[in-house]
Amino acid sequence: MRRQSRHSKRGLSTVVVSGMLIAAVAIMGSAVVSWSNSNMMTHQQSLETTYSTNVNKIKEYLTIENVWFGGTTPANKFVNITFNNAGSIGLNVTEVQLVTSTSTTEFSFTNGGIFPSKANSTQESYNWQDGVPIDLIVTTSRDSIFRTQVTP
Amino acid sequence: MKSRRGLSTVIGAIFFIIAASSTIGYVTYSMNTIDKYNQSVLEKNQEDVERSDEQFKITRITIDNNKLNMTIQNIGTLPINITRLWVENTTDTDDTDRVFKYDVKQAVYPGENIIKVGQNIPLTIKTTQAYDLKLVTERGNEQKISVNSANTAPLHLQIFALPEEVPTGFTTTLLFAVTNNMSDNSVLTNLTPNIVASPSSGASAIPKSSIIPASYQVLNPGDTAYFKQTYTLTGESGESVGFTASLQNGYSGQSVSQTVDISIIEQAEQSQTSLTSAGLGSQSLPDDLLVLHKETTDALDGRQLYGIDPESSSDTGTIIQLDSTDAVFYTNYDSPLEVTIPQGKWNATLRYLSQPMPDSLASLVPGESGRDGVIYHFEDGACGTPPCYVKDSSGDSPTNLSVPSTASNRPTWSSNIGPHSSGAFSFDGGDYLDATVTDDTKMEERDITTAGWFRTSVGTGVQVIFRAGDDGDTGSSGEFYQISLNGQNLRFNYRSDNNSGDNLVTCQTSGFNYANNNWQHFVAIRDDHRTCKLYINGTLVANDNSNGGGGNTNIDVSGDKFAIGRDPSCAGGGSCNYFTGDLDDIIHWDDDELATTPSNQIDDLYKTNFGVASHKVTFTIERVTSTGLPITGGTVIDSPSYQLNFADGFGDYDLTTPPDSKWKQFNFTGITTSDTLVDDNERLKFKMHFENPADSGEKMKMKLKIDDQGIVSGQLKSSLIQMPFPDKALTGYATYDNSGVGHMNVHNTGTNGAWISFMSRMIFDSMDDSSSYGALIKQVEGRPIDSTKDSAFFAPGDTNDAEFDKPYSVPGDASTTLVPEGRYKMYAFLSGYDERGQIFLQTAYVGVVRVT
Repeated sequence: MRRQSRHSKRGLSTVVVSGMLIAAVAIMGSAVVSWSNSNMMTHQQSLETTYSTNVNKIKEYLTIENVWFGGTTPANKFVNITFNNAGSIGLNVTEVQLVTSTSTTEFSFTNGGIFPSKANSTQESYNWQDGVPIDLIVTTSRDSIFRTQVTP
Repeated sequence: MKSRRGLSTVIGAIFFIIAASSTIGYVTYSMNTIDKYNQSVLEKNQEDVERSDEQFKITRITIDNNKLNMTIQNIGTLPINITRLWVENTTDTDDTDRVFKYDVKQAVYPGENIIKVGQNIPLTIKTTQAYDLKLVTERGNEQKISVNSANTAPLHLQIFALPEEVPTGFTTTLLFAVTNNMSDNSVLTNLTPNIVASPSSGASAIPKSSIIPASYQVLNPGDTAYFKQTYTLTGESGESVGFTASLQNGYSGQSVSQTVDISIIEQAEQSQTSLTSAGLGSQSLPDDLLVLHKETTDALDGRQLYGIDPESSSDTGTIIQLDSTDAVFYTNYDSPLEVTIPQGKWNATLRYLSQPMPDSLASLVPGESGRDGVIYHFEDGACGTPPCYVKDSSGDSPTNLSVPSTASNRPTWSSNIGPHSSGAFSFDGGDYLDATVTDDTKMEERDITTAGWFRTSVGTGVQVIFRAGDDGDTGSSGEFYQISLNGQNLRFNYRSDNNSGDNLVTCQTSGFNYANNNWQHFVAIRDDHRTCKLYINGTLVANDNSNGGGGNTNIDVSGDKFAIGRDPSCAGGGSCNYFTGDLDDIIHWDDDELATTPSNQIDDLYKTNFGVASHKVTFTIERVTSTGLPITGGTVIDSPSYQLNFADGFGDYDLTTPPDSKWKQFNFTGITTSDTLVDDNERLKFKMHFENPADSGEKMKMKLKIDDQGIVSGQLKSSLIQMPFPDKALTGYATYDNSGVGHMNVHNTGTNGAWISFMSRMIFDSMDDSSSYGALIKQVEGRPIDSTKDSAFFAPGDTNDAEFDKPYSVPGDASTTLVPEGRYKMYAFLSGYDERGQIFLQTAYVGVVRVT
């Protein structure tokens, strides 16, 4: 009987300990797996974002197809610029800078989206000077910069 | 215990698997992402490369009916999609009517063209205004061109007159040069010249030709356009004609001018009687003219070159076959004698004639071979009011191709649109030329060949280039012979027997668009009644001998029409099948034997230049010793590979001695930049050497005519050189032996008969004007003349020999000084009266004579 009782107590303890160990391992393992998955997911998203940003920026290609100047007085002079999206993804023109040797003029846009293979024109008031060369710098929402030089 | 340890292992394994699979998944994803990124970079690079490889150009631009008409050629290796055309009117200041954007959306494949771009856009071009055009491709590349922009800035204009001084009745050729030196590097289009002649009082200038070309379609930056026009000038010596050249649409007020002086050969003009003293057999010309003579005496291995007219009015000169014989001419020499010729232009005015066909084919095709057929080079578009004809150069009973009486059916001739800038006809889809089939045209032989050039941009339907056969020769019946475009393919077909089945023989190309608006050369050969062969640009593209047959071998079209540009059965209600495009050099003859060795005659036909570079000649003018040896630094002008136009004589003449009317004229010009000193015992040597064209096909024979009479008449019949006016005359070949009496031929060129009186004299004036000698006239035609007896009657056209006494310092007094040996200017003074009682007193300069 004593032997039986002593034996029964040792068995119970081992089971409990084993259960605790198993539970502990399971909990810790699950925690580690969850943590690692979460961590990898974060990295994955980061990689995805980096990839998308870089690839889309690479694929952007904008040409300044035509620029012409109109008007005769400072009050009504203007510049008409046509952009052509010659790349394979859409882009968004956010800013145009007109830089001369003496001045810089900026135009911002909120509706400058251009689909692939499409063109878009904009006309802005601008007091151009005949024969004075102008650097025309176009910035997109992906921070791509395209430039050309024109002379009225 | 064993069992528990196993459970723990399983759990650990599960976690390991989870961890490992997560890690592997992440790494795989990362690698895929990197790979996609690399792919994107590669695609981007590929796009950039393709964008930079994209090349195209605007090869032609015209304004037709106030609409743009552009031809665009893809000169790269990638297909191009033209998306937009921008047009900016740089003249108009109205912003609302200044810049236009049009969608084009036309693809151009590598090596091909698209035509008529701009014809369908709603833009009306004003010819008085300037436009900047820009074509944009789908990849974002662009090409710019300016239209009518010659008026935006002054251009570099030049005008040359060749020669600048002419005798009355001679021609001068004006060259108007326009150089595109626009600072914006733009292409100029539609340069249309305007040349205005302003003769001084009494003079006249009559255009002998229109301005050639009438306009330049495109002039690239840095290039020069040359316009040519020939005028015949008449007037008195000292009169002149001013020429002013400008561009019709050029910069306001910009023009260039050139004056051409008229100098007349002296001749008697009293009482409507013209007695020309032909001193020592010849009449002198101004010191700056050197005539190419046929005589070889004292001219080393060449012929004489000096300023004396051909020997007599009946002299028809001689012909030099320049392709086989160098033409070499020498002036004479003397000592002491130094002649200085100032720097300037040397013009060689030459009469020549081209063989109708290249040398290797002369024995096969119509012309010198005596074979029958037709040769239409289309080098003459002159046609007044019909009936008039296109000339046949075959030389054997030429067949004149009729120009339709209805103006709208007449093709338009241009002098320089052909495959080698030669003359050609343009057919607008309702034009044609035709003639009746005769034995001489050889349309119905068993073995026949047809060759020619065509250019079209229309690639639909049937377009007849050449067809023999009349009403009923359509569909599956009738006998005919036809070369046509069937859609984009060239087709050669014929039927010689319609009595026993279809028997249609057809050769047709496939797989290539021949309606590509480029000139293409075809040779169609019928060998018996089953065989056809079709060559394009020297290459066999179709052949067949599996069809045809029947009893008849000849094509029965006798009495029918053959036509160029349509089906002649059109006149009888059949299909017209008009041709739209350009045609040139249509040749048809009665043989099928074109060899491929030793010379590929099919290739020769393709490569032969019937245009602006038909012949190449090296012109050399140099100083040589009295014996003809070269002198170091003696080259005055050396002009190799000078190109001469094809000079078509239009056949129907004796090819050995073509009549005067057949000879063409050209001017060779060389310029010296320093004075030329012809020293003691030196001669001038003028040499023309014919070159075999190495790059433009077969040798085209040419003849050169020299020493013909009539150089002072309205029609230039001989060849001569005009050089800058020398300080003294070069030594000629006329001599006078002072031990004997002098003789002179006197010719009555007027319309009235006349008598010469004893007052006539011969005068010798020393070259330095220090001494002079005179000789009395003694007799004419053996009849003595003195104060009591005049000469016998000179009928119009007569040439009589006049004998003069020896020249003395006191004429007639033998005790005074006899003219010593040396060089003298010789004059003839003729006195007399004509059959109407009018006197004439005439002094004629005979030329430089050497007294021995």
